[in-house]
Amino acid sequence: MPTDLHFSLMIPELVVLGSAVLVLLLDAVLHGGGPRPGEEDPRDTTLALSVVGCVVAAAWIPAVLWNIEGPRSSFNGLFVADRFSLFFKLVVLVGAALSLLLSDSWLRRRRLSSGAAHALVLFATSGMMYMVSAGDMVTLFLGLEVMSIPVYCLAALLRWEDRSVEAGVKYLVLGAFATAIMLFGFALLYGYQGLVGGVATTQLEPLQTTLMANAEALPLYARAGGLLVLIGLLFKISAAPFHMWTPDVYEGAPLPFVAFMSVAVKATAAAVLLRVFGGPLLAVLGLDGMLWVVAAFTMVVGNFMALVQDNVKRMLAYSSIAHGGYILVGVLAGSAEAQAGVLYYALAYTVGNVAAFAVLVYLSRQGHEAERFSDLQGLGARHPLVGGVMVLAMLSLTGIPPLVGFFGKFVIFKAAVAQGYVGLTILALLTSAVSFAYYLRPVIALFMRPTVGCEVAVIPVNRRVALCMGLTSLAICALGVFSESYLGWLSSAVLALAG
Amino acid sequence: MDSLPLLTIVTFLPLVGGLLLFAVPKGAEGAVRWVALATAVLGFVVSLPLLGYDGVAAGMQFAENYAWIPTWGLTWHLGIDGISVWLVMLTTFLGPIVILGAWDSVSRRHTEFFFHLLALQTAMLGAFVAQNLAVFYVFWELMLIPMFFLIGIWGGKERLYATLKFVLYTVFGSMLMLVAIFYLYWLHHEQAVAGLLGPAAALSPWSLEFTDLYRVQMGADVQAWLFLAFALAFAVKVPMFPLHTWLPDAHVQAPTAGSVVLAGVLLKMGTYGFLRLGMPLFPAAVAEWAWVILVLAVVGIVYGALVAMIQPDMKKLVAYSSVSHMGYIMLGIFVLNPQGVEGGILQMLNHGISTGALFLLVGVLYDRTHTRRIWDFGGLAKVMPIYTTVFIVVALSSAGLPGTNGFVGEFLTLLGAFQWGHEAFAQTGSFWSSYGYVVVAATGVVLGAVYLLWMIERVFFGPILQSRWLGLKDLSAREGLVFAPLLLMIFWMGLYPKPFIDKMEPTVEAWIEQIRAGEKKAASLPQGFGSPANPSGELHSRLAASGDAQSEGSEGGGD
Repeated sequence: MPTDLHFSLMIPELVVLGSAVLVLLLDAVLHGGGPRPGEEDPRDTTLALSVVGCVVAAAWIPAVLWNIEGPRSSFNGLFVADRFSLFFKLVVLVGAALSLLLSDSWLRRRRLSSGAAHALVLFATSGMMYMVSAGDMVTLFLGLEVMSIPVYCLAALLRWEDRSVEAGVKYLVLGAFATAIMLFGFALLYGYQGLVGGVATTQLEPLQTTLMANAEALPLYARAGGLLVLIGLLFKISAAPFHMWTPDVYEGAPLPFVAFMSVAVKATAAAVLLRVFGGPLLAVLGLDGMLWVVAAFTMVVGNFMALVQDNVKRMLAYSSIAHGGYILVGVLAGSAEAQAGVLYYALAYTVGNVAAFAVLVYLSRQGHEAERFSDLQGLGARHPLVGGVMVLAMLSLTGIPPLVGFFGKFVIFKAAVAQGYVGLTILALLTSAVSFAYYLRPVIALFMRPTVGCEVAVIPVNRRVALCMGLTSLAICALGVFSESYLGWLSSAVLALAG
Repeated sequence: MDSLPLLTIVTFLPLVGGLLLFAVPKGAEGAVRWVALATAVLGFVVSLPLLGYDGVAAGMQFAENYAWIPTWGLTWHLGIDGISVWLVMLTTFLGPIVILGAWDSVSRRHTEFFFHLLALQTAMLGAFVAQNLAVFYVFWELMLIPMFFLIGIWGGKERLYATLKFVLYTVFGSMLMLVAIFYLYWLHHEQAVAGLLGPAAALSPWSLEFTDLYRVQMGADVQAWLFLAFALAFAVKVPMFPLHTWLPDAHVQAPTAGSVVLAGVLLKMGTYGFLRLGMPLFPAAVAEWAWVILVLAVVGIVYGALVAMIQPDMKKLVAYSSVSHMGYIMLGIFVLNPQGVEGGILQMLNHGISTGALFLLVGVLYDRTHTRRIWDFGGLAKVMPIYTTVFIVVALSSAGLPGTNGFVGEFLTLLGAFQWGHEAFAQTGSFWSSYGYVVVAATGVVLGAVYLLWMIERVFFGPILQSRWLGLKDLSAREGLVFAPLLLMIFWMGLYPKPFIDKMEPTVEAWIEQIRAGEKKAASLPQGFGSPANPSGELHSRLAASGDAQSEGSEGGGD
């Protein structure tokens, strides 16, 4: 019987879950099918509720939980609300709120009910929040499932479109495989903990302690357990060679929800990687060499495959793979500084990527998705501000200073070099030089190519998407230059991880 | 004046003006141009106080140092010395000229065009005044973006190919340099923590200050690797043979204004990088590998000149002449004596003025005729006498005619190279590895005269081949205003270069002294000092621990 029941630590999760349930109910009550004459559009209500839920949950974190006195773990260590998890919850919530803003106009144009979609985003978000707070393999697994299943549904949201269904099914099948592999790893580690550690527990900390204490004589099955868990997480972060699902899912899934999964799922996976394998454990399990190869392979595959894509969504999928590779370099380097770098990078990647997707959503219009490079042609001259946001997003993802993406790379590779990963850093930066060639393609299409077709449909002003673009652009410009103002938070978050 | 952050103002003024352009209501292209011009003129005026740089005292002046990201040791540290003051002045001087030159030739998207020009100016100025490697790198990379747009939007037919080639070449160099920067950054940290760099550095071990990094101790082999990484980045930008192939493409495709900035200032970034970073950071590597740079420099001189000779396109001819001229600059800098280095720096300014003017002149002709092929022309002197005169004066200054700026720079460079050869001959006794460089380089002077004069003959003299050229207008008043300051500078620097040399001389001498001292110091360090396995020499101290007790903070295995 757990003695420590601190529900107050879970308030953000409960708020998100509560708003998800409310959204579902409201959607049913308010005729989710669409507005009737003389009625308020129910989609506005569910959107407002979802966004407010995310914002309240996010605001609660710095306002209350960050500086809370007293215990930070609850339910016998199943749930840990340390600063590390709080940081990632913020990132995930920001990603979710921005994607919700994006999804609205997109759903409206397709005459889709928005309640279900919004609720799915919220459920997935709560799953991610439990995942990053997991102090225990069971919580971790439950969070993973709560995250994954709504995301599969979101991928298959357009159930009458083959592409979307394919994306959903592919993600589901491969995701289920990865989950099973990970679960098998948990089982092995649990067995090891029971046999060697003495106490059969699913908690992560005792397990890590046992593994570290017996670093000299780890049996093969314990190493194998670690390897299988790692593979499951590498699948979620879409590291090569476990990346095959990413481009297909990104291509088929609805645009705004691709934005959501590309940033939130990746940030969550990075957080769990750090939580489970942070510090010297990776080397103890003998997995550092493998992660080196995976990181290198991921950066090469991501950056080179992105070069040959015609579809912007596929290009962004490969780009997200490449960024996963950079994050893995930080995980591999493993020092406190490198871990802080991973946090920084997750933030930088989130704002850059959401900005890029926001532009794509903005430029999509009735019957005309902005998906291929040719769909973007010539639009920059007509919509210079929107094009400007795309330029900022691409330059930040490329790593042009003084945008936030550059500082993300700066802090990760600074730490990697300090840990002796000079070769990997050279590879990383050379592949990121390659990335210029494809990140500049949307910019070229927007500004340097003539418009296709005789006339461009006028794209109506969309305030919500514009708000999202404004916020992310501001973040891209300011987060890097004013890094000093929050670097302290990052190091205190990482400190929680160490002890 | 002390409290006024003059360099920050000079740097950011163009960008602020560029952003103001977007506030100009649509359809008022005239107003956009005027705002841009006013910004650039104001930028030049604001930079004039920098000429108050005290030439007698070498070292950084007008320095500003503010905390930026202290956790990482990044400071907003700006300053200029006798070298960068001239490059800053060159940049602000060319600013209004470029905008005035592009007055009528931009046909669409005026606001963006002038914005990118002004943003580019900010980026270049920032790189020249930066005293912190992070600040330098920010501006160094930022420079790419406006140029990418200038070529990509307002360029010629093959503009996308040219602009991507420009970006990718530069970026591959920069990324290797970035790795080297991270490495140096870490090495400074390790050595500062180990107490090798003195008590002040130990307090803030993470630092990217130029002056802090100059003191990092490395064996010659470690220096060679890092020098390679930095040198690649700078050599692409210069561009040095054989990394120059992006330049002709970029120049031919770029709009006139883009070409002028590219040739006038952007290329100087490469040679400035060698002066400020590549050489003082890695003096031992310079001593060991200077011959490679020198060989590539003289090859570039002759190769550029020979290829320029056979170009049918005037702009491409000028572009290849740039390759040749940049070779002189590299030669002058790497012979490491006062004449050579001063000649190299003067040549940087000369090349900025003369080649910038040549690109402007080609642009003037292109605006009128829409062709740049040499064989389309002939006898233009009869219809455009003033234009012809200006063109010939500028071309001759580029070829190094005595009395013009080009002569002073080339003469000093060759003199420096000769002296260097003289000393090398005394040591090695081999003619080709000593005097050989200056002999080959001097042939470049002759070749330079050949390709320029031959072009002048074909374009301006002889019969007028096509009747459509009969009605060509001569220089307008606006164009006269563009070229007048350039001509003034050509003769001023040609006839009375003393003020320029006086201001840079103490800096140059101190700079050479610094490199010589660094070279000696590095020579006293064992191989592998500063390598990843042995960042602060503990390995060597342990090996040499037999007896000679080393006090704390000593030079590791060195002294």
